[in-house]
Amino acid sequence: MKVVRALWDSWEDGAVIRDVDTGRYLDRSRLHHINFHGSRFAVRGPSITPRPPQGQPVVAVLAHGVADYRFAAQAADIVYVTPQDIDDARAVVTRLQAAQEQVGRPGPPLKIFADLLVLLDESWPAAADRRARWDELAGEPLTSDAEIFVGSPAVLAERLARWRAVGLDGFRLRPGSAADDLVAISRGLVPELRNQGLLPRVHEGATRATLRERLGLGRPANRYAA
Amino acid sequence: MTSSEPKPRKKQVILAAGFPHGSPWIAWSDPESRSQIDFSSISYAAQAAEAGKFDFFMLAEALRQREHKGEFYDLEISGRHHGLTVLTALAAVTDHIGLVTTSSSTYNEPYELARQLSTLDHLSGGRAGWNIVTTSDPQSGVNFRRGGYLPHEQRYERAREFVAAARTLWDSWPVEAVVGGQESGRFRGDPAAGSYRHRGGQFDISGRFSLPTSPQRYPLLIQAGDSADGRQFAIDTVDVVFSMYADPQAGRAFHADIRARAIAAGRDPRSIRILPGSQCILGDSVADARERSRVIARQQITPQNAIARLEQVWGRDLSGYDPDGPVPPVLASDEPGAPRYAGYTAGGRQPPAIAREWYERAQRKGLTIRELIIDVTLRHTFLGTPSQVAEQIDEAVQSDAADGYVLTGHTTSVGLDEFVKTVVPELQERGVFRTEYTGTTLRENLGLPAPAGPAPAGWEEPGEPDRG
Repeated sequence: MKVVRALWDSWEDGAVIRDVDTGRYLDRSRLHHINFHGSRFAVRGPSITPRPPQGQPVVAVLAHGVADYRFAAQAADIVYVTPQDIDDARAVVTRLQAAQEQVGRPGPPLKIFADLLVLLDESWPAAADRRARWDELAGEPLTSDAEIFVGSPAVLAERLARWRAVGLDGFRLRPGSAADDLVAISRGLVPELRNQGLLPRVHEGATRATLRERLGLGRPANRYAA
Repeated sequence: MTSSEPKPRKKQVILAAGFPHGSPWIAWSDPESRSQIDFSSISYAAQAAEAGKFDFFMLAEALRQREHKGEFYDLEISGRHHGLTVLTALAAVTDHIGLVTTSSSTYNEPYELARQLSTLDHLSGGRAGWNIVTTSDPQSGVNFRRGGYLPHEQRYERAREFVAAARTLWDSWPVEAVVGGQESGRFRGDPAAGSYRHRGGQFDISGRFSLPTSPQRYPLLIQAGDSADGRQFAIDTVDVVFSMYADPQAGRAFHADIRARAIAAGRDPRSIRILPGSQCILGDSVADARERSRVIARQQITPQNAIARLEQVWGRDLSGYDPDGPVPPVLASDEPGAPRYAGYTAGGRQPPAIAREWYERAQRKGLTIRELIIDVTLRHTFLGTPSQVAEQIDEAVQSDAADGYVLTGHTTSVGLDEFVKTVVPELQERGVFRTEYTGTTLRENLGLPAPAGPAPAGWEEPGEPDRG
């Protein structure tokens, strides 16, 4: 990640000048060798692609334990975690805060997202029936590293609200099936979350916002900029 | 006269649109020239080529930022995307045109690249192509974990084996492997689908390939290497040769060489398409086109660029020379060994030999430095009114100077608009270019047969009996 992030910065903004008088397309003082030498990589750079619109694209990692948490704290913008219940969620948040302090994380704090595998139906029995049918087809019970939620969008919305209060920034929902659960998320869950004030009615600046802007991360300064 | 008999159908012209984002062919100072990074200007170019019924749209590739005299080279357009990613986006906004990436067999791995190409072929409905390049310069090597770079003599060895390994991967799913039926409860009809093993001197890989056979089975394979090794690789491996011989006379000699090599290798020469890279300059008259060519050439090769390009070949500082003055002689001190600047090679020849050749050329034709660089770098092959250019292209193709051309405008994004609007209808009128796409896949549009599928024995390293 050190190499990748350095490469993303290796073209400063405004490196393309198209100066017809001097025949110069580039301002070469705004391009940089990264000259990275580590135990696994040796990369001179610069990138051949100009710095992207977000400066640094959003980096996310799935983390299951303390070693992962430390890596996330050093390298990522978002960490996906898999708490099994609200107490576990609280403990994970505490451990992630400790990991960030330990590595001396620069920049904004990690955004912590909890993963949930969701089977959504109008009611709990309908969703539970579907899970049972899947178990039968597969010949074994459905398992996941993440907590499995089975029930209605309204109940899921309440759970997300409670979990959020312990310090989570967001959630990554893994739809049990794209056909049923993705639709249930967009048509059932999203209106519920809006009603509870957990999602804005309309994304602010939805038309042209970058992902970083949506996450409230801002555009990072370039390490090579004077 | 046998006027009652239908006229034999003339040989059809193949047209491809090049999108070079790091080349003196682009006059970036022209106010019409757009960004080569904004997707809107790339999609505009691809859609314009598709409106002109072009066979394919091709992206060039480079893996490093060029340097000159220890500084970043700042005189030509630079900064470019990862080609396959861009083409995958173009697949969503085009319907018929082929999408060709230029990707290195040195700095990629077969599994990774075969998978990306298979994805492009699936998502585009069979329109993927791969221009195989055998990068071996040390300047690119410093950006890759391979560290150094492949010895020059091994680059085609690796390329051959790379393509063989990729074919093994593309052949690893039997066509009927995907069942996906709810009744059978199985997704893969053949539980072993995707299992592969490739063993050779360059790669030893085995596992499961993650994608079913794509619509073309193999993407269209293209290569441009001009050395003897490169030409032989083309005969043994590819469908299309992207050549540097745009001039019809040189083109006919190249065509004859490829034909002879194909016959010697037991390959039907009609199964290979030869497409030189070229530029067309249009005008209201020949004189007008010549004048435009002169103006455009001077935008493409600026005075600074002329000196820098000469320095790359001469291998010494020439900043004191007048770009509009005579070409400096090649000094004896230029001769031995490595040039001081980034190695410029062509057809496997090294800078001192190229410098001597260029110097003689300048003497013979009476060229200044800038005129020499224009002469050796640019290919304003076809000049004239739209109908004259159409005639020149038609004649060149009918006389086997080429099977068609990879055309590049001199401005980014909009550079082929005029050609599409004025020359394409003339070619169609002459009955040598399609008015509608007739095939579904890129191979079908080029009139190439579908690949036969797995070779019975698969790849075998010479003297390596164990085939796993």
